[in-house]
Amino acid sequence: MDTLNDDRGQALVLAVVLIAIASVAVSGLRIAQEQILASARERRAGEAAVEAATAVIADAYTAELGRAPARSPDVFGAITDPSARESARAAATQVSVLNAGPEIGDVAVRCAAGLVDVSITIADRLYRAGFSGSACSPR
Amino acid sequence: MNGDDEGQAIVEFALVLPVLLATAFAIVFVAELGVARLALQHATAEGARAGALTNDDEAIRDTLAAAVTPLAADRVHTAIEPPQSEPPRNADPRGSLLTVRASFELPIPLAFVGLPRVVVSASSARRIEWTP
Repeated sequence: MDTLNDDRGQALVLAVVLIAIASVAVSGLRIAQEQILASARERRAGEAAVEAATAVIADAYTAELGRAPARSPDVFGAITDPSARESARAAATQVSVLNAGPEIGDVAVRCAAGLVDVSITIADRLYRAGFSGSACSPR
Repeated sequence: MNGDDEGQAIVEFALVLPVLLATAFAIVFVAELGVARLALQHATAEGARAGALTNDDEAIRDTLAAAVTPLAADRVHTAIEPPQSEPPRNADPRGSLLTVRASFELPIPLAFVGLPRVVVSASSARRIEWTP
């Protein structure tokens, strides 16, 4: 009789255990999702930011070449100039923040071997974009 | 005394079954929510990128629809700001900002019992690179 009485509530105990396991599963799923989403968001923000910065540098490059008839263009100087890099950084930050990313600290510009290479770093991750620029070729 | 315990397990099971079903539903729902959020984020980013390169609302919507898989594209609501017919996009928009927003209402099997609607949304912004 006592043994039969001991069986009472087994289903309830099992249900409580299952619900506890399920709660942990749901919480873990949510945490993993947030991490994946945050990483994806940051990557998207970085890509958009470096492309915005590259567009600003490309505009500076084109503008400098457009002055060519008046004087010899200094493409390297124009696109690595602090004000051009600051404009690129501002554009990159604007786009990054709009995409829930961080502010951009610095924009690195490299002009060599017929390529203009623009890069930014967000959370130790490097984002690069560029365009071909014959004015960056060695003469 | 044995008669007192007959059906005990069935009664207990009947009591906890709704809770177990609700828990299982919650796990599936949270997984679907995550998939929808990731898909929308990816799709808006791809749509905004297409818009930055083409300045074409049609291309943005087509790209977004293709990238929003596994969600049903016809149930995704899209908003593009500013629209193609308004300044600065109807002139020379290079350097201006383009924002693509999308939202999707998650289908809930028990919506008829009064569960609240769950709408997932995402947005992406890009600087327009297109030149007329």
